[in-house]
Amino acid sequence: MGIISQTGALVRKEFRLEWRQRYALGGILLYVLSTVFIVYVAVQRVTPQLWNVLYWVILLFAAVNAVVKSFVQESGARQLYFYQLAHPVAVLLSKILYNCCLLLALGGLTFAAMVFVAGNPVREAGSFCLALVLGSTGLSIALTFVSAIAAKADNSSTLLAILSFPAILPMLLVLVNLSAHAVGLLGGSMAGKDILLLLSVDMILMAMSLLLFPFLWRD
Amino acid sequence: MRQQGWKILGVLIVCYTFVAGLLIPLKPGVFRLEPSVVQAGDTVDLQLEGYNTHFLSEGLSAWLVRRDGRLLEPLRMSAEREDLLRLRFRVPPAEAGAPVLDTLQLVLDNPVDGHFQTVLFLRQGDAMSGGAAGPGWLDRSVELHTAAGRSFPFLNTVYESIRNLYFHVPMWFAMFLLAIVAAVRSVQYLNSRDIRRDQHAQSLAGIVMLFGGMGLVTGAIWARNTWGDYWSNDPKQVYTAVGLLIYGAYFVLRGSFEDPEKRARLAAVYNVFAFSTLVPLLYILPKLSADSNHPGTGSNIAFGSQDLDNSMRMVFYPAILGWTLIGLWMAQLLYRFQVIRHRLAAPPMPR
Repeated sequence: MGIISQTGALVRKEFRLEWRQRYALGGILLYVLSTVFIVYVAVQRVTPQLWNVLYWVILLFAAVNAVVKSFVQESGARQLYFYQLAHPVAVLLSKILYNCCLLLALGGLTFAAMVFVAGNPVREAGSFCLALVLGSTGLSIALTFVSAIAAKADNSSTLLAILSFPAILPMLLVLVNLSAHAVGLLGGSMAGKDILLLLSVDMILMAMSLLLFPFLWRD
Repeated sequence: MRQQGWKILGVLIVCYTFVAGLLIPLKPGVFRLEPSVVQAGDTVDLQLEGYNTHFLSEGLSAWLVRRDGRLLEPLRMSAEREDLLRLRFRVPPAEAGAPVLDTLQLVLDNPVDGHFQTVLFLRQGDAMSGGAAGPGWLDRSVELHTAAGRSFPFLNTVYESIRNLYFHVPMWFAMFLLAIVAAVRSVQYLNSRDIRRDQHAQSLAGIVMLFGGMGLVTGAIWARNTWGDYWSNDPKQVYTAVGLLIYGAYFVLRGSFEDPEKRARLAAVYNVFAFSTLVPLLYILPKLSADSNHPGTGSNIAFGSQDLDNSMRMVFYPAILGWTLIGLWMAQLLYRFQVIRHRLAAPPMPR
């Protein structure tokens, strides 16, 4: 079995596992909804600029909460079993892919919730969707990889936040910038540059994860 | 002795930075000029406060110079102190078709200070034509003096704090160079599993944090005096803060593991990963810096072109090298300290 088919099988396993214990999904869902509601109650009048910033902040924290369990939920022995069964890189890839899908869904959900309570300021749907896709890809790569590091420690959820925020911040700055274009706050033709930048950040993160993971999984 | 050469070099260079950077005087310049707008056709009295100037010395001359190079001599000139000068000009009436508002250079020249200038505005819009008749704009060239000796540029609002360039900016350079070395050490650890490489990386990361903190503090003090606030959310401040966060997280990560091998491995992996995310920030930085207060971005004057003149380069470039060498030395000392502490903490070998 090649890495790709192994990855496919593992992604299916992730989805099935998630579906069996739906309470985790429900927890994230409630987290997003309640955060959006708190924001709405606290801010009342949400300007497009505020909307943009709040959207990415909510998504960032939801993503950290969603991704943190990806390496923690399985015991060390079971993980070792996976690493024997499949190529370790396939294990990492499957988690990244699964988390990417999860974050995309979360992004869509957060968007729907924000639109429901605070209106829809997005003018260029295309570049907003692109920001969402590139953003959830990059976030899932960085968070998955860092969660693999954090899972080795006891206090993994705190550690994940501490370790991942500095690594994510550059990407987040570009994301906020790109979606500011989509919301119509910034004019000009800078959006193309942002997209290229995000693509290259995603690629660097992916390359580093694949290069460094072999040093990480074996205890 | 041969192996200590780079430390001696570092100390010498840093000493040179301190001596040259703090002792070389600033070029003379105009600190304040009142009024800053003159009306065409009027007789105006200008009061000028200089900095590092010698108005009382022999051979002082002053001209108002138009954009086309024509100039005007003062009616009267009296220096009250070395740094206080009063000038009276009779500005000729506006010519037909002249712009409403124009800029003039007030050029001052004497043998001690050389020549220096400041800008003022000439309003010629609602001029009453046919004012007092007097000498018009002269079309001739004048000989200017050049000051002897080295001096640093005189910049408005920056003034003497320009010397901070030799301490604030090299901190940032040294921080980044040391961060590169730390990342290389981490890669070497992952390849060789030699625990000393990881200890090198750890000591270097400590010094990176120290230099980053020093850079932030010196920058904040400088920003308070020139921009008005300690923290103005400048992209370069954000960048340094992110760098500090990364290394802070690195030390938190180290603290979470007991097993030395596991700690070294995970810390090395994180160091390389986080450093590689820091590099894109270098490309994001120029994009964001349209609203940076730092020199060389947007409409701000660049230290690279006109302000970083040769006398500053002579101190600035060695300063980067000197502080980097000092940083490497500090990291080496920290490494040795940790090795010794490690040995003392370890239980004695059974005989």
